[in-house]
Amino acid sequence: MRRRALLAFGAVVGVGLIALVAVAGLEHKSGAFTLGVAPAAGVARVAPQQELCQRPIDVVAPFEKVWLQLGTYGRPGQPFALTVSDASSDRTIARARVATRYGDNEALTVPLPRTVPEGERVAVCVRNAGDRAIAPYGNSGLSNQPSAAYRDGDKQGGDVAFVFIRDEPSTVLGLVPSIVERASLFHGGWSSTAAYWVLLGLLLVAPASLAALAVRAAVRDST
Amino acid sequence: MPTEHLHRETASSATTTPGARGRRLSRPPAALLFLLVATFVLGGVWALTVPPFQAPDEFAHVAYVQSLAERGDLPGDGNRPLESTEQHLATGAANSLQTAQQLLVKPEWSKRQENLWSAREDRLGEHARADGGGPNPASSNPPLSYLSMVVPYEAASGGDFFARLSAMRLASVLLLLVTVTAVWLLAGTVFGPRRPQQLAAAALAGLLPMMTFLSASVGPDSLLYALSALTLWLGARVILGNARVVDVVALCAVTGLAVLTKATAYALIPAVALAVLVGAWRAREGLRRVAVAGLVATAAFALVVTPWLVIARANDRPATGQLQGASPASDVNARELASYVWEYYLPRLPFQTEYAPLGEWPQAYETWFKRAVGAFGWLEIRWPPAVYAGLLAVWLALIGGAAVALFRRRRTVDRLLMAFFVLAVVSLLAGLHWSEYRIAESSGGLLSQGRYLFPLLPLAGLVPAAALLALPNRWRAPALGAFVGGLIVLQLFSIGLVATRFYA
Repeated sequence: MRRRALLAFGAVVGVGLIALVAVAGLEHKSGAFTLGVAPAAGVARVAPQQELCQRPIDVVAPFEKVWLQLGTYGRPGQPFALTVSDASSDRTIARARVATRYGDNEALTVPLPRTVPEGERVAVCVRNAGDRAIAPYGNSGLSNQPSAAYRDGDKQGGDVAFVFIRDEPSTVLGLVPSIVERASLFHGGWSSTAAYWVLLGLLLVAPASLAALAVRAAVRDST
Repeated sequence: MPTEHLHRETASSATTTPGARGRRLSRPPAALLFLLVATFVLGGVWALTVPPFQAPDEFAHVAYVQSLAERGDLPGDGNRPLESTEQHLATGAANSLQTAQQLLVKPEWSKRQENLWSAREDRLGEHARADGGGPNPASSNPPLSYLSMVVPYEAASGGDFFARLSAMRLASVLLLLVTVTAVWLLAGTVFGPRRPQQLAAAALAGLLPMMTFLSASVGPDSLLYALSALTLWLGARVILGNARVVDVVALCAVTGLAVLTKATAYALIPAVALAVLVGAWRAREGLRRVAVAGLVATAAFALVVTPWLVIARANDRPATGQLQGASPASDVNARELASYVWEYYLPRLPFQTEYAPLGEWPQAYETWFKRAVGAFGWLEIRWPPAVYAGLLAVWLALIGGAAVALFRRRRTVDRLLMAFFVLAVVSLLAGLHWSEYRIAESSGGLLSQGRYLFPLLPLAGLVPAAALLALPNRWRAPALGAFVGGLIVLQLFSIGLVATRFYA
């Protein structure tokens, strides 16, 4: 009886684990990270030759594309330049130019010519290169507390809804090291990435083993 | 439910020596111990994985505890902010408020931001922990669970804000162990000391992911679930044990503690009253015994609850929390209320008008089932619809099995014990629908959550336990193994789902 109970338990858990690994291996994520700002409304009116920057932004994962949504006040899209630069020195890290082929309130994914590496502290700026105003979408200035939006150096009341995207989507399985590192933040001074690797190991081994022992003991004590 | 309680163990142990029997009875069952450790490990993982304040209203519950711990006073002072400067700073640093309910928004992932926050927290003075205590969505709750959380809060007071939050969450997990133990005991009272039945019942309480998620967050739910489980177990003991005084006192004291935890627990009172009356009546000592039991029960309950009622009245606070609904009872349209309840579960009849706040039929599936088996975070983290359908199929199969077992044992079923369970279910559902209807009348929205039914989870645990009895003997052990294994798999998928939502 005990053997059959454990076989059934093992079969269910085994199939479940295989399914879990398969799902994590097949599900892809293209987002590198986000500022966590919902694109609710235009953050600021950016007149021709004006620039709206969101800074400082900690690059917690490398990216090659930037997603944003632009309003054009009912007019055709205006050309603009998107620049990623070092937040302290203004050194340009990557720069892309977008032509006019987009509509009002359209979401755009702007490819950059090179990867912005992890660990940088950057400013992401939209410079209006057209002859009519544009308005990058975002939300209130409380949306992302570490950074803020500045128009030509003046702090605005909102945050721009930038999303940073990888060229090559990663599988969830491939993101496990990042997930472990991120989960270890804001859980107390004791927490560290190493501690969370131990926690992951414990999760994968202990509950299933203990539950198997519980089933075995219950069946044994019933016979 | 079958009620071959206690007698089987007595009969089987007649062949063992008195010493061996004593050892056997005094030693906790190995299956329960293993289950408790597994439950604690999983609870610990949930507690340390879910980002701060990504469980329902956790920010308000933490502010409540901090107000008690740092100011020695209940929250609700209109001249103070909801949360302390320290909590406000921590919430912003972790991007907690923006993340809540917004699937596209992630908590802060930057180690540098954590370090910056830590440096700022170090510069805060002691007053930064004590300047909260203002009006709080949780301040209508009674204080017992928050007082219990002051202990881990103080134990971790040398650590930073998030260390104290983690300590409170881990302490909350310990209460889940009480729930699991109480469900084990309830199953033992109902089925007798049959370990497979006890394990099946307790495993549902200990390993259901939503239960672990909620019990690993700061709030009154974890203590409410533990006390409700104890109430149901003690109620069964009172009914089957002819209302021994010690059981009656324990039952009513525990019910009183549950009432001091969350107003939801008032729904247990009719069932508790029934248990005391049935137990006393069964003692066959006449009306005097019933009267004595009633007096003892009332005294035990009053002794626990009265101090809070007095304090609440003296401080002009709502003593019964959410029992005081949004709109006055006189506004209730009985016909509309009946229609709302009907349409919650059953197809609308031709002569009924559509109750607008209800969503896609049946609302009960969305609220009671889907949100009970998988609606993590602030309800935004969901399974694909097919998963809910699959889990519903499993649950219906278990109910079918339990019904077969019940039918086969219909002559030996203790009907008054069944009445106790049914009354507990009906009272809670009636209370929840009454509250929801009144809130819907004033706000136009439905607010009930699947977790509101978790005080009844011990009874749900009896379903798989009974279903095992419907199977041929040789299939029971593998079925138990598959059931517990399925719960472990569901846990792993749930933790993966939540980790992916917040960290990928």
